[in-house]
Amino acid sequence: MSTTPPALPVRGAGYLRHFHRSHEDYAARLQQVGGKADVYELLSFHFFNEMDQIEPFAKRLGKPIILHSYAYALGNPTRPARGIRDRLQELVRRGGAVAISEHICVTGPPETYCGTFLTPPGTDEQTAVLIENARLLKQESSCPVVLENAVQFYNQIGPRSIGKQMREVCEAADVGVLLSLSNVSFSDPYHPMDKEAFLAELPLERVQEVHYFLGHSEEQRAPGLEGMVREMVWQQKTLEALARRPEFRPAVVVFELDATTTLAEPEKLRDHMEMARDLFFRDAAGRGGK
Amino acid sequence: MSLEGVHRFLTVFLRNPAMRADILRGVSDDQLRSLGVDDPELPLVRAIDLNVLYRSARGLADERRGRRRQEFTQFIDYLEQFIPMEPFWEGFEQAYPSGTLHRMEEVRRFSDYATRFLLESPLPPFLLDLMQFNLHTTSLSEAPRVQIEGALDDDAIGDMVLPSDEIALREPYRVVEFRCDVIRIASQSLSQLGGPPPYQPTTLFIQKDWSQPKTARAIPLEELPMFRHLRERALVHDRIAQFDRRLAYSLIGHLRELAHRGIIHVFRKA
Repeated sequence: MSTTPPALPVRGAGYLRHFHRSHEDYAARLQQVGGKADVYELLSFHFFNEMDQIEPFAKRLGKPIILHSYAYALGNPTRPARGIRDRLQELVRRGGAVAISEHICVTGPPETYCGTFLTPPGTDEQTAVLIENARLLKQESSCPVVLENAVQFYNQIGPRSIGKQMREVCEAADVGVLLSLSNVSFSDPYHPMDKEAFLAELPLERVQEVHYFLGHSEEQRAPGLEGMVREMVWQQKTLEALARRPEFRPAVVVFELDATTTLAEPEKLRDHMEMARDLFFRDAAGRGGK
Repeated sequence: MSLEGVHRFLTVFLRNPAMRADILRGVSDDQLRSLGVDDPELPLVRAIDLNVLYRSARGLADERRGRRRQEFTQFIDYLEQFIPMEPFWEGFEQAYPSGTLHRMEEVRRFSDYATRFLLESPLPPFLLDLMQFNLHTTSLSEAPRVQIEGALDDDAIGDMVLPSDEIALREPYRVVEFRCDVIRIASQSLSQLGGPPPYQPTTLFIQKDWSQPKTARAIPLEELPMFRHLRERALVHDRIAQFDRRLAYSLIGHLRELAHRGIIHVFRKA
C-alpha cells in the first residue's frame, strides 16, 4: 500500500475564494492590510454556468488554484453523470488547476437529493462504492486529487468511523487527504465527533491540504456562539500539535472565511496565513514563506 | 444489499417535514420498506439516532432558508414585516421536499411557491413585484455572459467611441415592467416608505453586470433613451444619424459612458 500519494505542485497558505462580488471587495481589503495568498481554492459550481470565466479569473488571481467540487458525489451508488464530470475536468483544464478537492459524502438518490454533503454510512458496501468512485475520479483527472472528510450529521452506523473509512478510501484509491478541521468543528451541533479518535485514525502522511474556518471576531462574541469560539481554539491547538508530527506535512492550508455572516476580518486572515507559513512552509532560516 | 434504501431514508428524513414527523411518531418495518429500505438495511436504519438526525434536519433547513434569503433578500426582508415566517418556510419545504444540485432550479421553485402564496393571500401587491425583481436580478447574475467575437475588452475601448465603431447591448438582459418603483422600495425599509408603496408603473432594464462576478444591475429604462436603437448591432454613425444632428456630440458621449459602464459592446475595425 502506497503511503505517498501524488504530491500537490504547490505549497503555502491561502483561502477559499468565492467567485462573487463580496470576495472582490474582500480581496482589495486584504491587499490593503498586506495579506497575500499563495494559493486559492475555488468552488467549481460557481463556474458551471460560466465555464468561460474561470480562465480569466484564474489569470487575474495569478496564483495556483485548487478546484473544490462535489461533481463526483463519491458516496452515491449510481455513477456520477458523465456531463457533470466532464465539466469539472474541463474547468481543471481551462483554469490550470493544480488539484481537485472532493468530498467523501453522499448526496442522496437523484429524486430526493439531500441538499448537503451527507456523512456516508460506515458499511462495507458504502466503502466499496466510495473507493470505486474515488478511483474513477483519479483516473479521469489530469491533476492530483484530495478527499475531504464530511460533517458528522448522524451517529456512526456500520463498522467504520469517518476517520477509518477515510483511511481505507484514500489508501485504496491512492489519493491525498483534505483534513477539514472545519467539518470536525461543524459536526458539534449535530453529532460531536471524538476528535482525538478521528485524528488517530487518519493517515496523517497523506494529508496534503487542511481546511480551517475563520469567523468575524465581533459576530463570534454574540451570545450562543461560544461553541464556535471554543472550536476555533481547538483548531489552532490541533494544527500546532499536528505540525510537531514529522509525518504531517500538508502542501496547503486553506482558510474558510464564512463561519459567520460577515467574512472574517482581512487582518485575521493575514495573521492566520502567516501562522500557517510559520508552522509548515518556512525553514529554520525563515525562507519559503511569502 | 442496496445502499440506496439507507440514503433515501436519510434524505427523506432530512428534507421532507411531513415524512419526518411521521417517522418521529414511530415507523413500522413495512413503512420503511415502502420508502425503499430493504430487509438487510433495516437494522442500519434502526441504528440511526433520530434525535441527532432531527437536529441535522433543522440545521439543513436553516441553511436552505439562508440561501433563499441571499437570493430574495429584499422580498423576504419586507415579507417578514407582514407575516410570521415559520409557516411560510414550512410550506415551501413541504412543497419541494426533494433537493436539486441546480441552484437556479431551487430559485424557480421558490419563486413559484412565493407567487402562489402571495396570490392566495391578502398581502400588498408590491411584494409580488419585489419578489419578481429579486428573481430577475438573481437569474441574470447567474446567467452566462453572451460572448461575441470581436468585442473589445473594457480596457481596450479607450476614451472615445468612434463613429466607425459598431455597438450592441451586452447580453443577457431583460426589460421588465413593474407596478411600483421597485428600485426605491428595495433600497428602503417599510418605515422609510411610510407604508405600502403606491401604484407607480416602472420599466426596468436589468442586465448581467460584466464587471463583477455573479451580479446584475437594474436601470430605469428612461435612463437609456437609445435603448431600442441598441438592441441590434450597428455602426455608431448609423445610430446617431437617426437623431437630430445637434444631438450627435452628446449621443457620442452617452455611448462612451454606456461602453465604460459595460452596458454595450464596442467593435472596432483594426
